[in-house]
Amino acid sequence: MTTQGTQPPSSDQKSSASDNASSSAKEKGVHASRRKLITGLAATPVIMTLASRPALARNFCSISGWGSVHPSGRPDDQLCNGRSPGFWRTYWSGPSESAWKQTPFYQGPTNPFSSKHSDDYSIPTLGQLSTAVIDGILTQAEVDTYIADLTTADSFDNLMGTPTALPDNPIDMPIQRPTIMQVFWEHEGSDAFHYAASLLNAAAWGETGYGYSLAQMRTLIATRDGTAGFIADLEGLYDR
Amino acid sequence: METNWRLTPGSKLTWHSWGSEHLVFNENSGATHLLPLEATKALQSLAAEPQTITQLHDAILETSDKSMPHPSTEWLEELLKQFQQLGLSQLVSE
Amino acid sequence: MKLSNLSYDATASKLTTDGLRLRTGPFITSIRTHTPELTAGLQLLYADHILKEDAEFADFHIGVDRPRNLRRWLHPQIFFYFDEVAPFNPFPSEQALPLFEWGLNWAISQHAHQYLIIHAAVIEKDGHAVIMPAPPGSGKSTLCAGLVHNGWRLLSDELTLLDLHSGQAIPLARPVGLKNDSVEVIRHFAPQATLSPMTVDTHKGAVALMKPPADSVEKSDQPAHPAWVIFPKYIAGAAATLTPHSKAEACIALGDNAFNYSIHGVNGFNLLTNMLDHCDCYDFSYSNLSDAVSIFSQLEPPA
Repeated sequence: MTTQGTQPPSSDQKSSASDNASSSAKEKGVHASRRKLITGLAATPVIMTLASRPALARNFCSISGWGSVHPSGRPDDQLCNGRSPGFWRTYWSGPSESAWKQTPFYQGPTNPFSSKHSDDYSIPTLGQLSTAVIDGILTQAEVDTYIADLTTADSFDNLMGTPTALPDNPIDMPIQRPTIMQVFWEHEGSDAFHYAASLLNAAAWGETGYGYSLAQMRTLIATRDGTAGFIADLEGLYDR
Repeated sequence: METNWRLTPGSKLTWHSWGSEHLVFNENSGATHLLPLEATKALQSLAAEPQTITQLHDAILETSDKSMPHPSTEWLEELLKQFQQLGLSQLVSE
Repeated sequence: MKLSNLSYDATASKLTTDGLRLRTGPFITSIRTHTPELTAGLQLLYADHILKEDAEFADFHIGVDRPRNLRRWLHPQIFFYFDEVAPFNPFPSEQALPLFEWGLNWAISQHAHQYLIIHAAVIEKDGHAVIMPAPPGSGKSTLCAGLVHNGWRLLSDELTLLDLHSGQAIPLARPVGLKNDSVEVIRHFAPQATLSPMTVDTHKGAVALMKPPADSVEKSDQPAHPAWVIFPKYIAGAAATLTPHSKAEACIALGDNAFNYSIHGVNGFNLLTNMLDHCDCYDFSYSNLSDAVSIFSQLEPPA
């Protein structure tokens, strides 16, 4: 094995150029804390990684694409796929259902107290479900089916590919970790809200159609979580 | 008995640093990593020879300011797993 | 000879036959089109660009035209052609000019691997260049357009080409793309600027292109060493403020915004890190172009 290049740095090595470390320390502190927030682990090692990508993947669909001069034309002539959180959370819109099915993720069932084709992905408590059975609003079989279905819904953690700092659902809920749909409906406007849409875009259309594969988008989020302008970058990839 | 960790065989690493920030380019993966100081020390130490987590911990402690917090063995274990995912390190039994 | 020396008819004749060949930065681009929008747009925006002799080799062969079959569209549409191939969906014909600019950017970013290509604006003054990576919506192009009419030379508003051996930024002075309100901002801030007609984009609003200043085009053979990497961000109401940015994070950001960083491997890493050894890095927030120009005028090259 070899280690090449410049002398491996010692802890007190100074570069010959001006040192921004002290002035950026506050910024790094903010960034590091936000990374801890999203990973949910205290004092976890933080490595920022710029992954290698095939040159062709750095195409016009990616963040560094052509937003500055981008005559996007009519929606059906879009060159790059990418949908907003609003699109992804309305599963029963037709196009959204088709898009979800292009991903390996499952949105889960709608609230059993609402119609199947509603966009109500809120989750009732176990108490509410029990009461509904007692009151004859739902059968036990319906509740059992609902809970079984719910447990197969993909969590936001699954989508991110890593445990996140989103708080657990309340203790009396049928499932512990928030689903992707819960992020869209209960955490509107948050970083997780945008991450969820961006990851689904990547899962549905990949490098060629969206500009990033799922793995690349996960790496990008891990790398840029908490950095200035990142959410705006992701928003720039919606609805192109 | 603890297992040894080592730098992934055949690794070619190029370093560049500014103050306490360290970048390393891994020619095998083509990835560029920005490492905190402790992670840099760990990777350098691993590049010198395979070590257990305890040995790495002691090696880092040896070169650190004793008045400052230093990484725990749990932290190092998490770091090595991250290195492993990034293709930088592996368990010697692999 | 410059394009301005050709009449409209002569320009159109070249465009519809063997191709109009222009020097665009370090490249020679051969252009073919039958669309009057693009013909007029080229005459306006590339007036100061040097014509190349027809027999000379061209780096890029670009076409913007109606589809080449007899199929009729509901609305007039055009394709972007690269080496006779149409890689993208069609666009409305009135978008021929921005489509050409966008397509040439794409062609350069996909093929000019003799450079490290970063999605960033780059401007120069007194031999020192500022590289400004920025996502869409950051106000980069508006800032760039304002600065190049206030003492700075335009190297590029979209593609920073870095020479792998010298590390210098290579000029690629071409029209600057402006969107929506930015067009009026520049009209007022730099009334001497030449702007194309607006193209109404149904999806993102209106787009216009600003002709690169003549001296920027004339100095196309003068590269510049980067001295600053500045990440601009337009924030309504914000005071123009430079905040130091970590060099290491700047390196990651530059690599992330590069089109071909992975192709160049360790050479790309070394180019960026060596460049950053000699650069100061900042975040820049602003809301007022005059204040931005003032801040930039006070930049001192690193020691």
